[in-house]
Amino acid sequence: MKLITANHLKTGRVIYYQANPAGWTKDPEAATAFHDEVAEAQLDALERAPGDALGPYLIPLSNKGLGGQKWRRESLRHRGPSAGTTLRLYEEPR
Amino acid sequence: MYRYRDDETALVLERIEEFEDQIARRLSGELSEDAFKPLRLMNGLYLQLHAYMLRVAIPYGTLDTAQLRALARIAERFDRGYGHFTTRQNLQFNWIALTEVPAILRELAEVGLHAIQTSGNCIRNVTADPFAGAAADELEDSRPWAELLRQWSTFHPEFSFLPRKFKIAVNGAREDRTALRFHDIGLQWVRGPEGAGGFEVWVGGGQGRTPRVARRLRAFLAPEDLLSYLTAVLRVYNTHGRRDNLYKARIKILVDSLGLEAFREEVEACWASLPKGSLTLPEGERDRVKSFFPPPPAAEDAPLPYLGPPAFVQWLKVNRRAHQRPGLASVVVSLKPIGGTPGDATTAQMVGLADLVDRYGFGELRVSPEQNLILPHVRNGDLLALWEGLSDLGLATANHNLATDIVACPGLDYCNLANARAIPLAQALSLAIESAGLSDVAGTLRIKLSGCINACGHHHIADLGILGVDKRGEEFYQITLGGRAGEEAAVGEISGPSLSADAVPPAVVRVLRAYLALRKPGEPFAHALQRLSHDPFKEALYDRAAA
Repeated sequence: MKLITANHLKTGRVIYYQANPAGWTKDPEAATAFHDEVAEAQLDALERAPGDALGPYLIPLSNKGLGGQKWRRESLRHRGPSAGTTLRLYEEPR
Repeated sequence: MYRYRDDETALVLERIEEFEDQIARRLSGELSEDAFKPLRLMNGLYLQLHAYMLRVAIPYGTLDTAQLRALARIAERFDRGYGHFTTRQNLQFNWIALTEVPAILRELAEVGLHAIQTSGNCIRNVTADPFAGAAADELEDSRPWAELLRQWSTFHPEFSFLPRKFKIAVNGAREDRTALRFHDIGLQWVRGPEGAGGFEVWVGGGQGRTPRVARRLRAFLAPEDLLSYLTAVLRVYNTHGRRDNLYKARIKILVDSLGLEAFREEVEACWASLPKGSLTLPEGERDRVKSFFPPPPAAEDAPLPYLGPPAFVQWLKVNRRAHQRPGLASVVVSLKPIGGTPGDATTAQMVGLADLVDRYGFGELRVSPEQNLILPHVRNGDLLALWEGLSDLGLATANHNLATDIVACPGLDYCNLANARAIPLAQALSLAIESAGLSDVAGTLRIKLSGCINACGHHHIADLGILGVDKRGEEFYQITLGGRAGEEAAVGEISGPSLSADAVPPAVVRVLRAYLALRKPGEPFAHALQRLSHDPFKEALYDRAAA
């Protein structure tokens, strides 16, 4: 099973594709998981008409979560940086 | 500092209008992403993991306080309240929306900043000595030359679509603080055979996937010939550099494949063919640009303060640099708090620092390739008050060039290219070294960390370099030993198998302990490596004694 992910054209933020209603969501839980063959066809369609999605691509779902071998990258894309000033500023109210 | 002429301001504003129109056409769908990407990159706009990243050029690392306040305002209004200073003396905003880029660029333009040529296959922001105009070992102020190169290279029609990006460094001091031998072209100020000043020209240095120490292309170049000679170098590169393979496109590969002698012959022939005098730098123009960089301010010849809180005395010892004028000092403001994020400064820190620089630093500061900020001119009598102000801002860490002054790229936490995270490991290393009590006692020792082979964290030129790699989805780190910039420039050597993230901090602590045990008094890490070979340090790194 695979999800389709991309970045949003205006904001650059991470988005995931949902089939019904068709569109993009920030929540991977709300995204549609496609069987591999269907996912390829769906990705082809989105690449032809990307709309607000930048660089859509497939990510496998695995027991580690999103992304298969790229689970850490996909986890960081979904949850945000694991360390650094962004995190500190959000942990300590400004 | 250099101030734009009206036509230069107009040029920047025209570019913003042009890019605003390109953004509008992208948003309307008129431009595809394939068409838009090279346009946004030429304006310093990347797409990273979480958002767009805007890389702002800090011209040869020189900033005034109005510019720093503008960066703080942008961080607060358009980003998440901080900015990231880079090893290329630039600043990156990590959380930018495409729709807000024109407004940001206009704010930058109001203070003479822009993001032009901070990406793309063009001549990038020129690197210069961050202590230029202040350093006690200075032979020539590198800033006017860097400014002349900036004006020459900005929107240069012939060199806007090079085979690959191109980086130039200018150093006017005895010590090389620019890593010029790791630039595509490095320029070192020297005295010529008849005593006149000019440039020694180095070519083909670089880091990344194929690290190379530059080779000396020319022993002496008269200053008036700077632009004509560099035009010849760039023209040869533009003609013969490979465009078929991204990984073989830098000038270092061309110099390798042609050989230095053949490359030099090509350059000399090209140089000789240029119309005589057409690119000679007129003395009047050199003087005009130099007039924007007056000598350091006069100061009463007050002695250095020798009394004060112990933390101040330690900071003075570690973060002060000798100045060329009596009564003045240069000061390094470390952006490496213990356990912090290398290179980051919050809005409050930037605003507070701008106030301090206006009060004690003659309104001027610099960005260093080590991701720190530098106040080039501070009166000796103001050092204590400055330190107190920096302490209040959390910017008084006394670790300049010490083992906790760790350079790190954003890594996989932000970067689309990275294979592994850099920030959390830098934080863990900083805490481990400090808690082991090794930061001060080890003395000057450079640790640099990159999250991928592109080497934005400059790991190749560190005493202890750390490169993040991905092994089937897990982060590992390859350790290199013995890299350094300067006259004894060398690429670090891979020590052996890579280590897991958890294993790196204790391994580095063991190496530092081995160094302390084995070094002669005052012996730098690199010299200890040469004298003893890498073996005892590898034994410590891999804990072979315990095995």
